[in-house]
Amino acid sequence: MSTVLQKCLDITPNGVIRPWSLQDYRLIRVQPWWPELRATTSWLRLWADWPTLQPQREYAPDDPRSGGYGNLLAFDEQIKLAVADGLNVILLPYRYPLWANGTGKLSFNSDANLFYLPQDRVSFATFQRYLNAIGTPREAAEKERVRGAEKSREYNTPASHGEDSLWAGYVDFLWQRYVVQAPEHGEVAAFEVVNEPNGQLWPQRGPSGDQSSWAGRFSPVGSDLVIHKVVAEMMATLDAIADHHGQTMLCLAPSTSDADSAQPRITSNITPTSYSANPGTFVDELLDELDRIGFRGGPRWAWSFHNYNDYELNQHRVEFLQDHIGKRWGGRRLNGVAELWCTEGGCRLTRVRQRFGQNLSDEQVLNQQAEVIKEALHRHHWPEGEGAGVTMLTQYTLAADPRFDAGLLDPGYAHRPAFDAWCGVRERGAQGENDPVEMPAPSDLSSLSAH
Amino acid sequence: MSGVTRRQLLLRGGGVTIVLFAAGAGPVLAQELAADPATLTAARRATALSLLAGIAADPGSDLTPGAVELVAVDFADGYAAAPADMRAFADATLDRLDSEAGFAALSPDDSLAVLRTWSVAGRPDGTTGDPRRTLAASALTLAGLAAGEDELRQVGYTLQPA
Repeated sequence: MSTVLQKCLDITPNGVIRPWSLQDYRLIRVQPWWPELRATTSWLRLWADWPTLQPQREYAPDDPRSGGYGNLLAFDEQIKLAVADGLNVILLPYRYPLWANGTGKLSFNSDANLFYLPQDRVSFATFQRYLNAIGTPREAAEKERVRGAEKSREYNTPASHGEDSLWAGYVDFLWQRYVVQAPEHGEVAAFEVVNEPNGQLWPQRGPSGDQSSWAGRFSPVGSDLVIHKVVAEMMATLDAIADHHGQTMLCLAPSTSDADSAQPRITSNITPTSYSANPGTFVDELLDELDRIGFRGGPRWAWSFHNYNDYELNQHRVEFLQDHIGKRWGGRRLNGVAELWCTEGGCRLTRVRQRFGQNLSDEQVLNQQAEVIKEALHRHHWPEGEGAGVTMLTQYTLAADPRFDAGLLDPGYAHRPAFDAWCGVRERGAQGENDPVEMPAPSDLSSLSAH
Repeated sequence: MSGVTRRQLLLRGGGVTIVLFAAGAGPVLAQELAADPATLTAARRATALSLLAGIAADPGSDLTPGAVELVAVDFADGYAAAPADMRAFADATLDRLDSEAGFAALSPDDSLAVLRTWSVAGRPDGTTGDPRRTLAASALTLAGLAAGEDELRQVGYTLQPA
């Protein structure tokens, strides 16, 4: 029996955006409780936030004149220390500087920003409240509500992610620094192409078929999904970068959100499931696009996804995902199905209340969170059903995030029962079905640079 | 709460509330608020307001000065709905902001200046960090409590270099 379960900790982008925050690995690893967690966790997911590491277009991230140079050095050290501690690091390029996606001309507090594709950034309900408040005492407040609720400019996809794109230059910089030049700057074990493209990035879809009113523009009717093409292009570009450098690095994609949304202009559900009245087509259309562009995957690639609903609510959405991936995916396989790397998950306290009762005390919620974590980990230890093909589960956040509280610890590092639950489940090693395969020859990507 | 709801009280603004307490005009109200662990004290509310105003003073941040009072009300609501350990973190962070820099009394520009100074205190690299960096980062993270749960898990408030 090839039971596999590796465990990963995601410490959020804060460690690079705000060095020495409580999400900085250098602080985490010196805490008295760290050895207990490390003993049963062998992967660490780190976010290479592009706006932080290259705030000015004219300076490469490793140029000492760059405003992000100090953050880069801090990031280097976190990677080096993680590797020294025996962890495998998953590196993730994240977000876009405003100079790279063209939104720099839209200042946050301008009407130009507020009215820039709101249909792709905020719910119609929120926007309509503002429209209805125009000319009333509520107008200013509702306007601020829209402003605060819109997806940030840093998640707007630029026109291209091809081999000559700015994005390719940034990813190539990361590859050179943390793969080619490793271990000087720290060595990563895997690259993940993107984070939750079907949720965070915008636009998800092309224009609505009805442009006659705001209600029409917010409608998905007559629009086509577009975000899957962006992701397919990202994957092809990362594959070309890997070829170019001739490295056998594990590459992960598409890192889908498992959000269950009734607003397809904001979030694209990944597949139909029995849990939702909102069938999604993201996975099917991504696979179609990968076929169309000739992306073959191969042993370098494994499918990544996020599984909060399965984890928190004892659901089996991963089995619907496997049904849709089927044999169409040309990446790694395990247990006779696609090898899946779950790169985010966890149990929010709000979901504990949703599942077990709104009247639970705080103490009961924290105890129940621990039980859910144990349940989720043990369910995936079995190489059938929801465990089939799943080679890794990830805990999103160690110190709780006030905006998404799934922490193993409270936001100030104080103990929660969830910590013991996570640490109490051992890993089992990877026993994939992949034979060693020679990697493709490097191709010419000489146009790539970080500028 | 004797004809005044918590939300109505908060909507009047932290400053007004502080004046009420200082003048001894609301001792009963003060006792009721003090007895409710899910209610921000007036002092912490004032510190939170100053923190948010400081973030909004940065033209590069995703918070406008016009939204500060609105977001301060949301912050208090988020605090009230948070579990006890989250509230304890908020209390400790707000108290440290005030004890180390008198945050509650700072103007928005001065609040921003302190946050920026702390955010670059010491060296970003190295093996030991400056605790002021950690405090500034915790304050920015805590400010996100106002937004409620974010399914998208976007990056919260960040500051541009001075």
